[in-house]
Amino acid sequence: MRAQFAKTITDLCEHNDRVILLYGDVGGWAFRNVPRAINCGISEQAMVSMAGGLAKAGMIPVVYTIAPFLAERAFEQIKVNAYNNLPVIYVTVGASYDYGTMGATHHCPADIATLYNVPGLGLLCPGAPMEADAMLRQAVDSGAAWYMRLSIERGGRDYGDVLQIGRAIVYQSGSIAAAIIAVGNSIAQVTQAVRDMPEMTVIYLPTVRPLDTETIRSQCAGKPVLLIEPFYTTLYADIAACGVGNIIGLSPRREFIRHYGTQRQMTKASGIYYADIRSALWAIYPVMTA
Amino acid sequence: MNLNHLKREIVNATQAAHTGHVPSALSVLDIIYVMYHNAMQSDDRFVLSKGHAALALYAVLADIGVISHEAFMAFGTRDSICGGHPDSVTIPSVEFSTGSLGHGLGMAAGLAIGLHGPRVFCLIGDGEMQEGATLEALRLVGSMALPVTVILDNNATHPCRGAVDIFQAYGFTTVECNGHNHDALTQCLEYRSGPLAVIANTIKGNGIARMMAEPAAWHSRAPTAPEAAEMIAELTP
Repeated sequence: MRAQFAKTITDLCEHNDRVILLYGDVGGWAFRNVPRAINCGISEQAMVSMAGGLAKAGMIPVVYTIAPFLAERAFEQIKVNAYNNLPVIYVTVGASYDYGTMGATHHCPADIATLYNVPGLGLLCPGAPMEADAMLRQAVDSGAAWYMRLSIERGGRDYGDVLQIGRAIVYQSGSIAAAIIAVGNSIAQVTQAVRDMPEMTVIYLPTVRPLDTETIRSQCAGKPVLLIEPFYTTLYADIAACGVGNIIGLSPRREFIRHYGTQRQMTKASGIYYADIRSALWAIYPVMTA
Repeated sequence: MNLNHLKREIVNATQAAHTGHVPSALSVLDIIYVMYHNAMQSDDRFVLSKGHAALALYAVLADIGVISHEAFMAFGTRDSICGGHPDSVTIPSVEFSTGSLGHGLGMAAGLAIGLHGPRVFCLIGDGEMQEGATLEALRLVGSMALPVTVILDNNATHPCRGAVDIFQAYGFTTVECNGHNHDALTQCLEYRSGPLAVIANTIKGNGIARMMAEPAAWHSRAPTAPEAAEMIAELTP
């Protein structure tokens, strides 16, 4: 998704004079052809404030760095930009545990849960490269402020051709009274978990906020739901407010992971691997075959 | 030039609202006055990064008619456009809603880049020089040679140590003056060939004896009606 982001932002800057990329001394080589880019150096807080200033001047700033350095280190600056109604687009890489050999300073399972507390900030979690492309283009056109979380974990099908910010995607509509809600790129592990279960309804949420409550209600009302979030749980209450039945949540535990490994190994360590999802399905679908 | 008429307004507004940072406003009032009357050219912008000096900004904006006198006197009331810190959403001439120290200069830098030409003036307090985010922004303004003027409200009671060296290290042309002398400020602010730092040496609570004597005690203390009456008398020729 990071490579696609570089292509998309290059294209956007070439065709829209208002778009400008700011990055925190990461990914520089990928951005070598971006016509309007500022390497702000290792100064994430000033970078976010500068993005606010650029938005005030009528530009469309896109800010890029590794997730914890934006969502955690520069959280207050993001809050102040939102308080000023400034339409800034924040894009990060690393997600929860992509930097699996780097230790928890480079992990950010908390980004969505933390930024959920910034009023007015939309939250986007594409599951595939062209989805990220579509979301960034729509975000640029929207005039609003967004946070988009990129990851190397990606789903099977790329919904970039049909994806709309704010709309859920019905991955499959099943016959039984149970559903899985796959938030963001947990769709990758979810689709593996249910590959032999066409009877299971699966709703894919590439947009965390605003939540597509209409689709959730129409597909899941009254049904027990398995809610998979690839980050510290954030949506439990909002899903519950949609009139679904019992909710079983699967998300990374709020613990630092002190093991090192590939992103795949870290996904297993955080407890949202497809095998974990498969096991958890018993709670909402007791008659399924093993 | 004596701004006692504006200082009286500040005292009245604070007393009525039972809230306000008067000494901080008094230390920057001359700077902001010079900003709007002498220093800024038509497309230039002003950022009050030291947001708690809001009363000084409101006094000047009311004086030049950008906000109404009624709006200024409604300071701190429930639906006032004049809150304890300035709000860009309620007052269009306020570039950014500040209040948390250390954010304004980075925002001013981004504004300068985006405007392609006009100068952005950013007033910071000596306390803000302690914030890492301020230093990050100084580095970016200096290294990108932005058309930004930083005015440092350098209170005598706790000035920023080494301010001249700090600004120069970050690539700013640096000058120093009495922050209550309008001619000196105007002259210092004339430079427009790149990043400029004006170290304005000021007195917190300037003009009100009790506040100058105990600036910390009066930092966010609104005068009672009898106290305000005394202060008004002191500010009346």
